[in-house]
Amino acid sequence: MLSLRRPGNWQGLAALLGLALVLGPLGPLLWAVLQGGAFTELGEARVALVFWRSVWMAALSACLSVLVGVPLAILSQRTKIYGAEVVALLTPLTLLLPPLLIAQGWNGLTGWDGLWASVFTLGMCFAPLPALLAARALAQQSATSHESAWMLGGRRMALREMLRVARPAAILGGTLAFLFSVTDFAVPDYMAALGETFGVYPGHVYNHFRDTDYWAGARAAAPLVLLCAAVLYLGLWARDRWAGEQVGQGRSAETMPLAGWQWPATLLAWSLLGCVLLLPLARIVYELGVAGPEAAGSWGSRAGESVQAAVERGREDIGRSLRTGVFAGLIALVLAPFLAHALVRRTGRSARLLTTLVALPLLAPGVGYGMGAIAFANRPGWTEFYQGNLLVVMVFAGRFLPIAVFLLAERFRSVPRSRDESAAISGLIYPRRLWQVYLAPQRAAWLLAGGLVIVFAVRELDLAILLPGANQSAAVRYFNALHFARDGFVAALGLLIAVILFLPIMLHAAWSSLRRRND
Amino acid sequence: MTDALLSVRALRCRFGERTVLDGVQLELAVGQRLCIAGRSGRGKSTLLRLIAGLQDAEAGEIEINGRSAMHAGKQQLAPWDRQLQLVFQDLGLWPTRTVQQHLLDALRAQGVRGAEAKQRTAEVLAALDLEDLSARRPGRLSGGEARRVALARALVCQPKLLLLDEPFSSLDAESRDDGFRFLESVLELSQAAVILVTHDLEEAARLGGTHLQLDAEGHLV
Repeated sequence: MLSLRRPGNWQGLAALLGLALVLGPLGPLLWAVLQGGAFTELGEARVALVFWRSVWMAALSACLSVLVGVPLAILSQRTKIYGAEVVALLTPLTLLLPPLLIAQGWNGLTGWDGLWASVFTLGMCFAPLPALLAARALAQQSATSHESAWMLGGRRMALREMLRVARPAAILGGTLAFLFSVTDFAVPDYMAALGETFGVYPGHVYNHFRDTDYWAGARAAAPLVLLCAAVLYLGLWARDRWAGEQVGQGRSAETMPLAGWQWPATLLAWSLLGCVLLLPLARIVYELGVAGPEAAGSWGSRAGESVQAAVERGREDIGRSLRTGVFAGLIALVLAPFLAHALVRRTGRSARLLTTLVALPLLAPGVGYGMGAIAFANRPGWTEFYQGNLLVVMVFAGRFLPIAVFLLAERFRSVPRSRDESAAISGLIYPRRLWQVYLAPQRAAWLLAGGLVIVFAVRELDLAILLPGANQSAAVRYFNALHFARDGFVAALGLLIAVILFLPIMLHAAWSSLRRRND
Repeated sequence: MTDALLSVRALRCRFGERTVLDGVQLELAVGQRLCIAGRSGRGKSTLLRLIAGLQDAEAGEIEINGRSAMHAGKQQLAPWDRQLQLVFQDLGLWPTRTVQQHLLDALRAQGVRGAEAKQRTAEVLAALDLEDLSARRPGRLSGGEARRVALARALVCQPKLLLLDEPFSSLDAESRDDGFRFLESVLELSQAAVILVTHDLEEAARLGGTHLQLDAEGHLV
């Protein structure tokens, strides 16, 4: 008989349900790999060229992300620059925005387009990944390891040690930036439409959608998924290779005094944040009231009209996106804790393999994942399901479940093992134990995990372009409007989406701050 | 100015309302051993951190080797210019560096590089019987081994003053014996003056030299 106390039974059930969500979209891709036809198209010189272009473009973007992200992490986490807390709070927000919004902002600011603009924009979009991970690693540096470096060689030695502490996190952050850049379709597509034409591999996958050859699209996406899985595994291996165990008494290292460097460091941090978030957003705010040839009135009145138009014309699409996101978030809230707990106590190779497997839905390019979902669901007698919201919710929940799982696993790691084991010995049934030991003390993180799934579902564009049920979403409307015209309405719709996407994080930050104050 | 290696006068330090050190005076000559005992939370580690230049006090003067290191509670001399080394209670090892790299990094910070740094590192590793551990990182060391590495890192810098913060507090009796034997060989090699703080009177007795006690009011008696 199945025991309610055995974690394996519950985790197995959660894994089966998670598998059911992702098998539809990923099945055709995996089938192509098993059939051996996944690499046929790569044999063509033109396709191979596009594939390798995508790889080196993403590699450059990832390097840029690390170069921007790590200094941001050090400056905001471990120095007393002016406004360090604000920098730390705002840095991750870029990740919540559709990268196309940042592309719009930067193009508006500089007029840059084409291949190099795409590399730059994606580098900025994903710089918060190494920044976030490095900041977390630096926050855990033990006080005495910092002080012993400081005692020996002052600022330079302390900084060197900080870089060593941040290195494993920066490697993983750079790897993730590479993965998200190499699979992005919308930004290169937009930059190529604006200026010099160039192709990237997700665009090649998307072309099969235009030809309504969905199985071929899924097959074409398979090499990119395999590349991403291999790169993620290598990234995890490199992180583990460079990681060291922080040994300390629980006291975290203090901020490093900057003396005469206070202002230059502050300026650098805010400039980097400006590149990553503030400047492109400011440009889009400016575009709210940009005058067309027949425009009348002041900037303010035109901006007001744009916002009003965006609310009126975009309300239904935003509502639909939010509904889809909330259902996907609820599914993630239920499944993620079980999978996160399965992941958390593993180390070494098994942890890396399981992490790579769990991450697969997120690693697939959005257009390839969507093509897989279409190949799976577009069949006679399934029309209602294929065109309905249920498929969209399932596809989004499956794709973004890994985000919730990884966030919770990371938080669960801080719970002492003894606490879990004493709950197990006392005979609590497993869900109760999971709640009592892990979830109840970290309710804010649990809700944040669900909130992030909602946010990513609302911001998802590459996938939503393909699925009929997701065509009338806020992201797709923004995508279409931006390609059609560059006016106040587009800017207002983009900002409206941004505000909605920022809301869960702001609420989480406010709640955490309130709890800290009450404690 | 005094001829003492270390001179501490009228040192006062408070954390909020709590006074941890009050009117602390002490002098230490070259090569002298001083043991400061006291219960946990009495400010022993704080005293070492103040001498090392890691934090400011409310009031007091510190002179090291004839140079003013603290005036009116404010640090005047950078920690790396004090010719001292502090071995922290939790050792403060660098998690991503091997044992050998710990020593090389410490030397590089002092401007010693290249062949000379390698030679000095090899000498210390050999003298302290740490050669077998040289390629290991702190996560792969036992508690006793990690302590030996922290002492070696301090020793390689050839400090004039060695500050030890409960160096053997979490070790079992046998490892503590080994630790003390190791410490003796370190002190023999370095000829440095030592201040050891501990809550363990037996540990204090083993070091020899002068013994002082920090009381509940923050006085050194």
